[in-house]
Amino acid sequence: MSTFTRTLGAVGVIGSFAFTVALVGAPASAAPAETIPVGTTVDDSFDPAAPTVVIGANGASRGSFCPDKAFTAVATMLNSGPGCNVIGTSNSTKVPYGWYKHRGNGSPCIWGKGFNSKRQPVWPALGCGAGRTTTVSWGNVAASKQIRGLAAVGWAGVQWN
Amino acid sequence: MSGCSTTPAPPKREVSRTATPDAHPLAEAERIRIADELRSDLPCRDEDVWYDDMAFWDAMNGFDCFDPAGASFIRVYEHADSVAQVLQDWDGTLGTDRSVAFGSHWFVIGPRSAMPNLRSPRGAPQLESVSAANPMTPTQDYLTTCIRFGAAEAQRFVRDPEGRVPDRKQYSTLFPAVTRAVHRAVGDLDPAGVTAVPDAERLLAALSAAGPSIKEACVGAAEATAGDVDTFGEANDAGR
Repeated sequence: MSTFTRTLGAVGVIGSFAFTVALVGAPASAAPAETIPVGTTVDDSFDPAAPTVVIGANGASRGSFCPDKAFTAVATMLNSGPGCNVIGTSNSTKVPYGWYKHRGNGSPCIWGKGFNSKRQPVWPALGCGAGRTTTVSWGNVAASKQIRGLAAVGWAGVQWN
Repeated sequence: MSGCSTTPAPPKREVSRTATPDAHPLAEAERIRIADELRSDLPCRDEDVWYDDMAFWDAMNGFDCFDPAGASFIRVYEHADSVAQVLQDWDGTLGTDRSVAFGSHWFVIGPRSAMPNLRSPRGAPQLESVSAANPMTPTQDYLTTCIRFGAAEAQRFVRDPEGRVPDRKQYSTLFPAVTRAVHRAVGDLDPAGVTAVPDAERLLAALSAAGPSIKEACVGAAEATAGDVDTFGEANDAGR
C-alpha cells in the first residue's frame, strides 16, 4: 500500500535551497534566469519549464509574458490546466487573475488558486457572469496559477490569465 | 384542510457524504478531547479555536497555535479518510522548518522542534504513515466547494451586512438556500466575537462556529441540485 510518507517524498519540494528558473518567453539574448529565494515554499504545481512571473509585495512584477488560456465551464466542476508560474517574493504578495467569457450560453462561476498565510492552497471566488479581474492572496510561494469553475446552466468558453 | 390538490414534491436524492461507510466516525466530543490533548503538548501562547473546517466537506475540530517557537495547526476530523485528503493540500508547506504528525483521524503540522514532545492522544495513537488519499467523491467535491462559498459569503456578510451579495443569482442556482443559511448562522454568532477580529484568516476561525449549520445547508443544496450540478473536479485543458 502506498503511504502518505512516500507521497511526501515524491512531491513535497521545499525551497530551502535557492534555484534558478529560466524565464520562458524572454528574448533569447537576454534570457534572464530567476532565482527562487531561499525560504520560498515551492508547490508541486511549479513547472520550471513554464513561463514564470515574479511578483513582490507592492504588486510589481517582472518575467515572462503570460498568454491567455482557454477553459470551458459546464455543469460539472472542472479544473483548468496550469497557467503561468508565479514566484511570490513576499508574504503579502497578491496575484492578479483575469477572465472573460467569450462564447457559450451559460453564466460561469470561476475560482482561482491562491495561498493563505499558512501557505495552504485556497480557492477564493473570482466571480460569475461575463468576466472579472481581481487579485488573490499568494504570499511567499512558487506555484502555477490555476482556475476551476462551472456553469449551473449551459456552458461557457472562458479565456483566463 | 383545503380541497386544493398539490403536486407532490419530487423525491430528493439522498446525499451520502462518504464514499464508503466509516467504521469509526469520531463524534464532536471525541474530536474536541483529542484536539485538547494534542494542544497541551504544543507551544501555544495564543490560539484560534476551529469549530469546523471552512474549506473542506468533513466536520473538524482543532486549533491554530501561535507561539514564538512557530505556529502549529491541529486538526481532528470526523472521518479517517479526511486526514490524507486534507494533508495533500499541506504537502508543499512541509520542509525544514515544519513537519507533520498524524493519527487515524488527526494531524498536527508544527515546528520540527516541537514534534518530539507530542504524545499520542488517548485512544488515537500516532501512526507512521497514512494511506494514500482517496480522490474526493462528486458529493464531497460539491460540499467542499459549497462550504468555501459559504465561508467567503460569511466573511463578506460580517464586514458588510447591508451590502449586495455579489453574483447572488448564479450562486443561488449552484447552492440553493445556502446564502440565507449563511446569514442566519452568522447572525446567531456572538457579534463581539466576530466583529473585533481584524485579520481575515483569524476571522474565518471565529466564523467556524457557523460551519456545521452552513454545511447542513450545503447537504440540502446537494440534494436539491443532484443531477443538475456536479462539482467533480477534473482536468480541463480546452484549447491548450
